[in-house]
Amino acid sequence: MVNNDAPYSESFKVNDRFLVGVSDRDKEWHRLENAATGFSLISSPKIPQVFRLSATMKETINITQLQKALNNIIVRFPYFRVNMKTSFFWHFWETNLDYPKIYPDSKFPNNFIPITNKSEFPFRVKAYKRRIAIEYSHCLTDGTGGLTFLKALVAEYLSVRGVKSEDWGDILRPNQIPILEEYEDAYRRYSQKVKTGREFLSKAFIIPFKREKVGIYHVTKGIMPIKKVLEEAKGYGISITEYIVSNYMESLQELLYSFPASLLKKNLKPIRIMVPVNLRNLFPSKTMRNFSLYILPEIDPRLGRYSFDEIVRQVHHFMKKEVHAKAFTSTMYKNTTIERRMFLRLTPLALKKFFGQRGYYYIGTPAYTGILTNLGRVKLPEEIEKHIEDVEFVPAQVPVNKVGTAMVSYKDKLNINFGRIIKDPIVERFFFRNITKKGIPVKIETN
Amino acid sequence: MSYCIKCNVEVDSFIEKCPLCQSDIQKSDNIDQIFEEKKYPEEIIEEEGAEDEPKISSRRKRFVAWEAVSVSAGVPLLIIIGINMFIERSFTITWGKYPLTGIILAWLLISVPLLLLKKPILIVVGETLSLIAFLVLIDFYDNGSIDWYYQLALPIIGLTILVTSIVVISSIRIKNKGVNIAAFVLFGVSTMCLGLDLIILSYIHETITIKWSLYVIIPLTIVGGFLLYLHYRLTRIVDMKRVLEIKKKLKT
Repeated sequence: MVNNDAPYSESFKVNDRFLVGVSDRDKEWHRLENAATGFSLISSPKIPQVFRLSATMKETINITQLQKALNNIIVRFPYFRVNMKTSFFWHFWETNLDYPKIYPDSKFPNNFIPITNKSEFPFRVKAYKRRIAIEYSHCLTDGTGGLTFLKALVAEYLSVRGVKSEDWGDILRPNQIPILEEYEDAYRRYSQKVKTGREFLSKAFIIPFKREKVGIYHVTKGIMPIKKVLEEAKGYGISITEYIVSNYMESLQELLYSFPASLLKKNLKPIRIMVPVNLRNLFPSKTMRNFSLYILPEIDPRLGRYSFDEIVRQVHHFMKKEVHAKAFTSTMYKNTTIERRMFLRLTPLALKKFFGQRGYYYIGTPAYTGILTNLGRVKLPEEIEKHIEDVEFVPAQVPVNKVGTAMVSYKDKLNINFGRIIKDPIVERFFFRNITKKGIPVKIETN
Repeated sequence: MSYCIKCNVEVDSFIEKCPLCQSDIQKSDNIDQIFEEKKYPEEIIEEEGAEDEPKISSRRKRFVAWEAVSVSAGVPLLIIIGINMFIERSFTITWGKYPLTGIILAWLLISVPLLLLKKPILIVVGETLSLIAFLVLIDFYDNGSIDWYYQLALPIIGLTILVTSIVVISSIRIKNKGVNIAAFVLFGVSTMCLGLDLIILSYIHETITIKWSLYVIIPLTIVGGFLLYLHYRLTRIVDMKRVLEIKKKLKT
């Protein structure tokens, strides 16, 4: 049975040994949670594992005030005020008593952050014209944790600029005391020992183009009216995520069939999309660290060409079947194997990294064609909302799959950001043409 | 409002080409430029630590490796020569020629593939010649004449090179790879055993004799033949994945 009522104190019974160990007078250290462990093993300049959340304000950013706001708010997020340290077997977080600084923005976002360097924070705040962007190493947090920090920073920035609000809603403020649950490794809290066996997925269709030089990352943002997208999704009786995933699959199928015969034959493999799921919606937790898993809806073009209706049915029923707590508890347990098996724990970090990176390239990521993550609707208190024009979510670079997608809705707009490491925006072209064919207007912005 | 008629998408008014298809953008008269600005700076800031590692060509890397191997081989070489001369109190190499020849052979076996990486034929020739030279010298050092080399060493080297080359080349060139490669290896092992048996026993008894190799050849040929049958015949008739799936279901 899934224990959704597991008290977080239970999880700290497990974590106590590792979580709050005092190594210096003011410094704490804590272990990485399960997802962060995986990310830390594969993270490198070629696989940066960095995603970005940004808020575009109505006025140009004042860097001095932003730095002041950042200094004020970082104290509220002690689990973000860290530096990654390396031991012989694992990485771990240690309190970083410096203050993070504001960086100028670059043409190509989401590049590697050398988080193991001395005093380096696992996130970078960047300012450009009217935009405040935060690039996070995925070792630190996921989209939900990142958005909470962005909202807190933007609110504090506005507060420094003299904006007053009666009600800050769910925004975390500098005068609050962080609660222990925000630190927690929620995977440990909810994982249960259930042996269901492992399923190995066949290789999926991978976009067959060569990656550009390391560091080049093209971002294509499609802005569409949320009302229209919702209308279209409701027409099929599905959610926005299901609708966009279906469109993405249809576009990839069209792309595949646009190949010449020989290339088509070579690439005729399942089209599988990785859709991350925020586990906080299934398992109550206030954690600010990673707490998400994913599902992999797919269509198999070897069985023939799918109509949009067929894809919608496939995606909708798959997501209904897969997104439930029971399925995830056993996955969480399986994922903690590396932390449980003694011989894996005693393997030196260098070896873990060596095999981790090869596993990422040859076993993990070739199993899916692309990734589509939906952060959902960003809600802000009215006082704050009127100062913010837009919110954006740029996905992390995906070296094997080459194209990643992230979406977020704010006010009346749905922003879909494609990030790619290949030159030709072929996936974006097929996707946005497909969307506009269905009568949804799209505006494109790029870097 | 600027628009791409091919992709049916709107773009910022300062955009000349469609970001999706590179077609010319159709401009409208009433351009609203109030909030339209470049979304990212033009300058590329290299993240500290994110820049590419300094590029060293693979040729250069191999040359450095060869240099390291040569120095590593040179040091014991000089030590052996020095000690040999010191013990013998003369400028002649006596017992030292055995380890020296061994070190030179090891250096040659490593150097040839390092220096001739993309020339497989030259590598095979180089490695073979190194082995031949080594065995000739060892045979010669023994009593100043070449005796077992022609009957024993040369045929074994020839056989090894021939069988290995055939197995490797056929395994690489074959289109449909699978258990057939295991079959080729088994046939290669059988041939090697037969050859060794023939060469060694013929040298000892001075007549053409085959003994123990038959015990290896018979099972290996049967297993190899079965693997070839499995690969070329059975997988065409029966979908093995389905067979295994049925077995899996029966198990559960």
